[in-house]
Amino acid sequence: MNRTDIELVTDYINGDEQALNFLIKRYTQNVYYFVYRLSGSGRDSEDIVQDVFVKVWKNIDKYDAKQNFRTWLFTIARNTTIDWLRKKKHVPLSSFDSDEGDNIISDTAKDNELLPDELAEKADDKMFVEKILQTLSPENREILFLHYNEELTFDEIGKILRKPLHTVKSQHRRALLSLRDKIGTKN
Amino acid sequence: MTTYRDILSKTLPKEPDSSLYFRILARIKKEENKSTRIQLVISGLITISSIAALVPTTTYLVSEFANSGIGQYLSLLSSDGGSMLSFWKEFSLVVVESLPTLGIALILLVLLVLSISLIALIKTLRKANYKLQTTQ
Repeated sequence: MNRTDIELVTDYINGDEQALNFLIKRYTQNVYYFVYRLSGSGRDSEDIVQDVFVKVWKNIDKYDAKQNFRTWLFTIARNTTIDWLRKKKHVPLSSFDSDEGDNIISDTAKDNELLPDELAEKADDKMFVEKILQTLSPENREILFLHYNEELTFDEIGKILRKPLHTVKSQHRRALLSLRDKIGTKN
Repeated sequence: MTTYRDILSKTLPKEPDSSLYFRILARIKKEENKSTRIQLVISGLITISSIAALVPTTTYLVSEFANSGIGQYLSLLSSDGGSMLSFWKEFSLVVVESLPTLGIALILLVLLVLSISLIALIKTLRKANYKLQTTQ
């Protein structure tokens, strides 16, 4: 029987110890990928993921079933990673704090925009794209990951980032523009 | 034809170590044991302290009872029950007024703390025992 996230949370709170293990198994990889995208370090990401799930375990009784579990989980993952980055001083504190973009570049980047053939060829190489992604800012990486890999809506992403919908949308456009520029220059 | 959506949805970092899931469970277990130990120590200390507090509060209550003169009122009830019954309203009021309220309040408070900490202690012990049995 495939229980939903909320059913698993409820079962765990009601005494089913295994329910939390199922939840952890279900999300270990997704959380790891997300943390990796933010931190850019595989070894550290594994430690951060452990911290994330310890926080989930400690706070699971505070989880509000009206909220999407993934949104709640990724919020914890994000906060834990940011704390870690701040401790390690890997990232300027302002990187995650700016609510509005400094300059909204023309909104021309669309995710269904076609890549020129020679760029598309390069982009087919996952390693190449992964390297390019690591050169983007953490906030651009997280928004692209949440939208394209986790398939979260902008509204759900807004809840995780605690930003209004229009800010998330413009940040997404800036992330795409930045990606396009990087692919172009690396070519 | 490739779009940004195509390349982004396909690209993922390298997979985590296969032991990560088990390391997470082990870490939670460690935290769980730590929290159980802390709970046991706290509830145990409160239980012991409230048992210890029972001695002086009981002594205080007994001395307050002795000083309150409530014993004389009650002996009056046994020696001259008839007249006491006819003035039962006044008699009850006098008895209530002479009750050592501070001593009673203190002992009730200590008993309340003791029962709460005892329940917490039993719950933690049961939980710890259950975890021990399920892991064996």
